[in-house]
Amino acid sequence: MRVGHEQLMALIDHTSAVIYMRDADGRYLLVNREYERLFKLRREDIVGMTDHDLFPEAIADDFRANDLRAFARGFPVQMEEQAPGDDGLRTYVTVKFPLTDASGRSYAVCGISTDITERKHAEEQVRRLNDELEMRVRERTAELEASTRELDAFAYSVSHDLRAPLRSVEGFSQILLEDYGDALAEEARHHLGRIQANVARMAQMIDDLLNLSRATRRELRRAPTDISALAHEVATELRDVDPDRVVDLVIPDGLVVQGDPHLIRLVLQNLLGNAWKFTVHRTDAEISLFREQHDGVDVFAVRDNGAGFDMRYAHKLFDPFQRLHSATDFEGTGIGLAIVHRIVTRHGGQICAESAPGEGATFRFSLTPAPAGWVIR
Amino acid sequence: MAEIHVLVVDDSADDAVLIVRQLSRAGLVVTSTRADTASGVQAALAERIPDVVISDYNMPGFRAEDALDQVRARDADIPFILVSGQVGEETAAALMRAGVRDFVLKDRLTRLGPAVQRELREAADRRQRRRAEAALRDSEERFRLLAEHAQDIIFRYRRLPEPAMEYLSPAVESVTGHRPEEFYADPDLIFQLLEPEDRPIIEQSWRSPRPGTLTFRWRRSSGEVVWTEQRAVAITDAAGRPVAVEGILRDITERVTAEQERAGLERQLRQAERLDSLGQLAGGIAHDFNNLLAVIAGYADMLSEELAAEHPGRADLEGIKQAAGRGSGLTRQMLIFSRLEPSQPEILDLNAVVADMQRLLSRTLGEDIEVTTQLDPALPPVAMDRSKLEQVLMNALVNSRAAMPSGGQLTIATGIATSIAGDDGAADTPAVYLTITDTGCGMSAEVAARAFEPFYTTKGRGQGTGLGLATAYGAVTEAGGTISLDSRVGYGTTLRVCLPASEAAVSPVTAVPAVRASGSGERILVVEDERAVRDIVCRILAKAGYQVHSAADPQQALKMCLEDSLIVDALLTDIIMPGMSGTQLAAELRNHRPDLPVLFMSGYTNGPTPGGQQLPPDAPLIRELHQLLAQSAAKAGE
Amino acid sequence: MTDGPILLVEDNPDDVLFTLRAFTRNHIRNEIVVAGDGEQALRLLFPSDGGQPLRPALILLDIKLPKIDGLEVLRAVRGDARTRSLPVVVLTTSSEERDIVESYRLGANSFVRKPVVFEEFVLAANVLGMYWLLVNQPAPPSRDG
Repeated sequence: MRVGHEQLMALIDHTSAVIYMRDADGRYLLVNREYERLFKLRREDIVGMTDHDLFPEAIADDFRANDLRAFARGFPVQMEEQAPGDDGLRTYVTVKFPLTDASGRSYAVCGISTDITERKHAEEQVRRLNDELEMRVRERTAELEASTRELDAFAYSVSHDLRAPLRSVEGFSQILLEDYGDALAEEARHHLGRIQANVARMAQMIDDLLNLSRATRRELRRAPTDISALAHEVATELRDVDPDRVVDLVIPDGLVVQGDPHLIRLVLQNLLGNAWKFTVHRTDAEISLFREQHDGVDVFAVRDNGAGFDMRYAHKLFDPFQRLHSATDFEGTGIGLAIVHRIVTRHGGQICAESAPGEGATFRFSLTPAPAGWVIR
Repeated sequence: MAEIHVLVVDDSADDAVLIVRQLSRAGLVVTSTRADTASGVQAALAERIPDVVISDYNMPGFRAEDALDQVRARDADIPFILVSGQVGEETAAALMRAGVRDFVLKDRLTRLGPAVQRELREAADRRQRRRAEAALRDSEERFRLLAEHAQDIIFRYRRLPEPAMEYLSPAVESVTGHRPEEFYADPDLIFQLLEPEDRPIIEQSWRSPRPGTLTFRWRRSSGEVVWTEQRAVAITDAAGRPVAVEGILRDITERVTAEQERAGLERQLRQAERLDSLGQLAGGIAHDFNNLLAVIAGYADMLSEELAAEHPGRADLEGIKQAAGRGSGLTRQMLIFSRLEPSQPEILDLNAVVADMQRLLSRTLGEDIEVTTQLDPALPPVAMDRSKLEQVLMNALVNSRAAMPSGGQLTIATGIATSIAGDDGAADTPAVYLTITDTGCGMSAEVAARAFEPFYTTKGRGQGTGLGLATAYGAVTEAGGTISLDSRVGYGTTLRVCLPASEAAVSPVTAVPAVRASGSGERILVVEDERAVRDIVCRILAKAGYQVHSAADPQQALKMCLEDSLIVDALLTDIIMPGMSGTQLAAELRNHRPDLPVLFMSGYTNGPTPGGQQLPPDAPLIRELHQLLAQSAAKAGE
Repeated sequence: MTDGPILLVEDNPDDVLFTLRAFTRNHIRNEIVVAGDGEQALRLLFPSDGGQPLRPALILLDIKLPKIDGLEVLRAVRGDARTRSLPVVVLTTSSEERDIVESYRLGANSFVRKPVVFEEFVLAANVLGMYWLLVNQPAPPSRDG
């Protein structure tokens, strides 16, 4: 493209870089609009002046020195320069290259300066913010650890202080039944039975709470873990408890992940256990474990064809002690999924559930941190 | 008129004079030099460059062609005019080819003046043109250099008559991975490389008369995204139509990635905060526990009615009741501690609360403790959940009691504080203080520093969970206040609570009418998913003379009211149930019956219930139900 | 069958009641001596006033005790030649790993978590009694004291 002087000026006036030209003596030959805007000068006024006429000595000295470097080198040189701006010194990355005439003599130097003050600020800010955020994350983690310790203490305290009165309630109820059972009205005996059942339930919840607290507390130790093998073990446990149930369990071999085997076992116990539980009314119960890849991230899934649940309440699913079915339909204290969620999160992964009433459920989880913006679906 | 300098190459001085005279006559201001040898010409050229050279053709010992060569060697443009007597046509042609500009015959010298003028003009034009071309070359050179060194991509894209990339600076290669030549060859390439979502934006911008500044993305073949900022203007034709667009494109990926990184970190931080659902866990547990303990207490209560007063099993039954009560007390502490007990802040008069508690005090504190109060009568009200405030007071009193095993003095004081912190001069928020001072054993500095820590206790094991002050801390901070301790070993301790003063007025204390022992057939709908709790509540209500309907979940309740047209006089519902919450159920039913009295049962507390804004507070039926249930619960918990 | 008394160190009166009942139900006839806190337990085992020390056939020890806690008692028992070989069963609410580890480190013979359900406790008491009083061969009485 043939570029005439006008077009050239137009182009260099559009750019947000600062462009200027000085002769061998350091006198201005040309500046662009950005230059004018920045230093509040008009190009007509500046031609013929030197930097020493315009800027404080130290800065002018630097400019001149850099000009001379470009002249001396004979090819473009790049450096950082500082110049006064509206709100203090601004930093530029400058390229200076000499202009030569027909005889090869350098008669002027042309400079293109790009303001990197913002970028530098931003970099510094980001660094500072990152440090701050890291610190805050550390603080929060520390707080979290502290609150985890509180939870520990809490769980510990609960397990002792609360179990004692429970033991008493249960004990006295049993004594009443044993000593006066025959003489008691049927209703009274029933009440005692209900008392005992509720105590047992509370005791179970306390144990679950302790389990959750342990799942939280345990240090995460990552090792290559054979999920398939763990799943088989869990399946065997489930069958031992309910040998009469006919369930089609599909567990592929060779599923491996970097994770804490003990905690992953808990996850499988919960998810497979839930699947086992919620398919209890089906004669053709099917439970499968499988792996998928979403955008390069390993996602494991447990699927069943059991009772399922209404997705409207799915967001409550992983809250502790949340149940989406009444206790009469399916036993459980509702803490299992909270434990699973905790373990998955501690591994840096994500978990989600998909279901429809009567159509079973699929729980998907990852156990490795994923790239930013990746969401499990 | 400018002076011109003429070099006359002629061996005859007279002829030279004639030539110069001729030029003057033509109106030119002339200085001149004469030379007639090569060295003479050289010297003359060295001394001063002539504006025009006029040369004779026939000179002995020196040819005009040589003079021409010398002049041309100096300057390609200086007009060289031949003045001659006679020159053949061929020679003339040859000389013209060699660079002689004109011939003037010696006997037609009058032509010389105009000829020189013309030649000067043309020479000037030529020079200008040459300069312009040099300048153009310079421009191009500079532009090329600029374009190569500018970090931004300079571009010019032509739309009409036919789309083409007219110019792209080399910087485009490092940004997109393609060389400018590739874009010149394929005018569509530039659009193909854009992020598909952004393509229409750019296409539109480049069609517009004001393309302006905007941000868009390239997608490199490696899959990376490059964020770019465009600043461009449209080039319009004579009719004002945009025919081309030119401007610069700047890679701002770094800036964008840095921002994204920051956003990511912030998200991470928020995630970490969300993980603090452990606190929520505590509340959730306590909710369920309270439910179960209430059930147990309820059954124990019923058993109590079934066993005769002298039944030997009474002692065991007592054991059950007391144990259940201990459990409830603990879970209640847990709840407040976990800060999950929903707060129902009321506008309270601290003095009134203290006065109410005084009645309890003698029972709690015992005879050997002397209680005095110093209450500021002009005390502004505060906003806080009443039962939590009472809990704070109780905890403080229990501690004071424990610190004075052999009796002592207890002083409760209220007053206006200068500010929340109590110690800066700035009177920012008006505040109110409440202090409880005892003359007990006091605490050492180490103990005092840890006093608000959860589970920290100096009492023997089994005599306190260490939650009292931690709970108080949580309740006070939640209400926007501060709590602090001042203690000296051997002298006593002062607990100081500061609360922000409220601008609202204290709600008038409604006189509480005596509870009717029984209802008269009013229809109550009980909604509770815990079968045991539901049974008990229904039983209590039925016994008290109400007509009871029950539903195990909100959906069933809705069905009963909306589809089966059940009319009820009041709704008694749990809050936390699977699926819909009690408050949502109440809202639903109130769509149809806006004045339906609703009482919420909460496993959280035996006290006032959350969702208070939906209670018409003076509905007598509600108050009765409330008190009936509260009484039953209290009885069971004793 | 070892005849000596069983020392029950337990601060919760309800639990004392239940333990006594459980042992009775299992027809374990050994005398059960109750210490309500650690201090009392140590006084029984190491009387400072020259009285006759209690030489139990089995010590049932709760860890959570006021004043001197159970682990201190355990340490004292294991620290004295006269009582070092006495069977100590830690009978407590906690099943926290650190409590179990610490108990064994200090020399407990056994660690039993008190079940909430009384029936289960009765069964546990039965097994405990059977083992420690019937099956187990205690150390011969030490010659010092």
